[in-house]
Amino acid sequence: MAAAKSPIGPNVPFFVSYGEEDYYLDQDMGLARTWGGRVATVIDASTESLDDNDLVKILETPNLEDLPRTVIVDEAQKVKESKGKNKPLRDYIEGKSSSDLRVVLVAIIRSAKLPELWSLAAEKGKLRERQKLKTYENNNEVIKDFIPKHAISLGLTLDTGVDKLLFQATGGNLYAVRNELRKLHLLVGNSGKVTTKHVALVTSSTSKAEPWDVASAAFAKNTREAMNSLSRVYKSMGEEASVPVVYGLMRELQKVIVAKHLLSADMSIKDIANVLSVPYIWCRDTLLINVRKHDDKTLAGHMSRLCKLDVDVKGSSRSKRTLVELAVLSIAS
Amino acid sequence: MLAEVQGQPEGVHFLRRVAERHYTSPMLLVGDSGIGKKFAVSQLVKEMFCEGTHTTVCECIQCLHLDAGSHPDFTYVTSPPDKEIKVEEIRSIIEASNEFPSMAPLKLFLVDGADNMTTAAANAFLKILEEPPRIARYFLLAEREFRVIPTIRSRCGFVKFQQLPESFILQKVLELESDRNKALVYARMGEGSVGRAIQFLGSGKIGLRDKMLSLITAGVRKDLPSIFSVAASVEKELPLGLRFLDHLVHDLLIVRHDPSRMINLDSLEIIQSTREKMRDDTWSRLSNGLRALTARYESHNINLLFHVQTLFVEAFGV
Repeated sequence: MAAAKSPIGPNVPFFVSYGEEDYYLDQDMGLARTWGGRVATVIDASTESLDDNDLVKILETPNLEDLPRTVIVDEAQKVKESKGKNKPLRDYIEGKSSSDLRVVLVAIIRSAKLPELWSLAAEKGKLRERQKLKTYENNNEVIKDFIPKHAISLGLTLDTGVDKLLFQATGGNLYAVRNELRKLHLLVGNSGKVTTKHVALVTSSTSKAEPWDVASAAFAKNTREAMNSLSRVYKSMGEEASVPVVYGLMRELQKVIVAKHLLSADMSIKDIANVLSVPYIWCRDTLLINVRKHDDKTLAGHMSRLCKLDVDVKGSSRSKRTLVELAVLSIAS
Repeated sequence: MLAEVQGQPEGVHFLRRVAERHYTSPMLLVGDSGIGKKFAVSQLVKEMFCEGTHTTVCECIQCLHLDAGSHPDFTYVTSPPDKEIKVEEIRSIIEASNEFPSMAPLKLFLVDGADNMTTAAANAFLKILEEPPRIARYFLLAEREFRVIPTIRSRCGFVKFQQLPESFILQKVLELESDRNKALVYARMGEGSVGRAIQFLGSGKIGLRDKMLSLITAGVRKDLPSIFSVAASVEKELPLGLRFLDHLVHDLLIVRHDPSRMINLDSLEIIQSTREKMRDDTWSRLSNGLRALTARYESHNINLLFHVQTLFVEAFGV
């Protein structure tokens, strides 16, 4: 890689990259490793219990050929700083000349906040913020920027709606987006046009589900979705999922049973939303529609059943998953 | 001194045998919190260590150190609230057991919470309890006997501490609360435990009792949203709330027959009127359901809020 072309070339003694988007942080680390004419040393601070003293020793020990060096510290937020008055790394950073590029320190900080020690280094070098993209916002950067850019780099042309479909299938995970685009590249070949059908062919429908997805589908009497969500929750969380799923069912039932009672007492939707502290539109368009699908007696029965299930999933029962499946089915059917 | 221990003749009898060195095995003292287990052991330690007048006002070096909590030969171990006694603490007892006493003739160890130890801690303790050093004595305190692992139980002499008489608790509460009626309510809420009665008084737990009473009245009105919201408002205190609920159900069941035996005497009228609004079978359902719920709560880490709400929906047929 030509250092001059890169915006993160080693023309400063410190390079600090921080945030929670591993895709870009790994990219920064990869770029630093390939800086030409330099010997790169990578240290993982999370596994090597590195303190500032050790790091300064590494920085100050030259290699045999006396070549310029790049010391890359992954998870640099975990480098322990000395408690006494002596702060070797702080002194090293403060004493380092901006033009001294014999040893360049690259700190990869996998945390949303930049520690104070590393902000000191960033002042003398370069700082990159690599926060997770806000995938919950509309017109987010993944669709606007990341997907088209990567498609072009692979020589792919995207048909209308492909970017959104890819985004939905991957949940905005940049690694997953990149992998799906590579698969699409293999499928359609160079200079091919990717359609939504291609996306449906390559992407798997194993997106994650949360325990409350199961509860809302069950009380909406959508058996198929409830059981699908349940199996996805178990797939992602393992057998541990029983307790949060039962908790989710309890929370949803609490809302449904109170809403049912208030609805029977002819209370207005606005008042019901107020009593339950839920948004008016969600109350009108989702909760109350679901509530009308249940009757008082059945809801009371579900309360007793969930109490028994709560004891079973926290006890030594052997078939917890089956018991939870039966409960979800009994609510949803 | 052991003569100071009130209302526990059996416990005092056993502890006196320890003081007279007739009994040297570890001892397990079981009983509710606040009924004087720890106090009794601390008095025994004074009786065994005192080199002076053997009175409460003795100022010998041993008694002074014991009063200041700095006696090198008396070790007290307990766990912070809602935490367990860890293996490290038991290891420190084992280590100290092998040292000779510095000032007193013996080394005494008091472990408050034998029913609240981690498995590792309990197992580590076993060995030393099986073959205790000649110069060491061990006292284990527990509220619930069944929670002490059987191997520890079998290695200890067992002493059951009794609930204290109401008159004694009332006398102690009256030292802090001048209103006699209020003091009587707190004394009865303590259920034989002076420590608990004083703790309830100090933290004004009548407020929580009132919330539980309003939960019952909401049940009587079949007011489901109130049942859910009142229960949710005291979610963190529900374990104690269950105890108060039990008191209230007790009162509801006996108010017709013998109101003088009620615990919540200050709420006589509201309890009487609430009692008349529902049939007997409702109160029986509530009482049975509450007993089952308490048992479930003691054996499983259940979602107590949801279980309490369900109990009321079922008992009152809301």
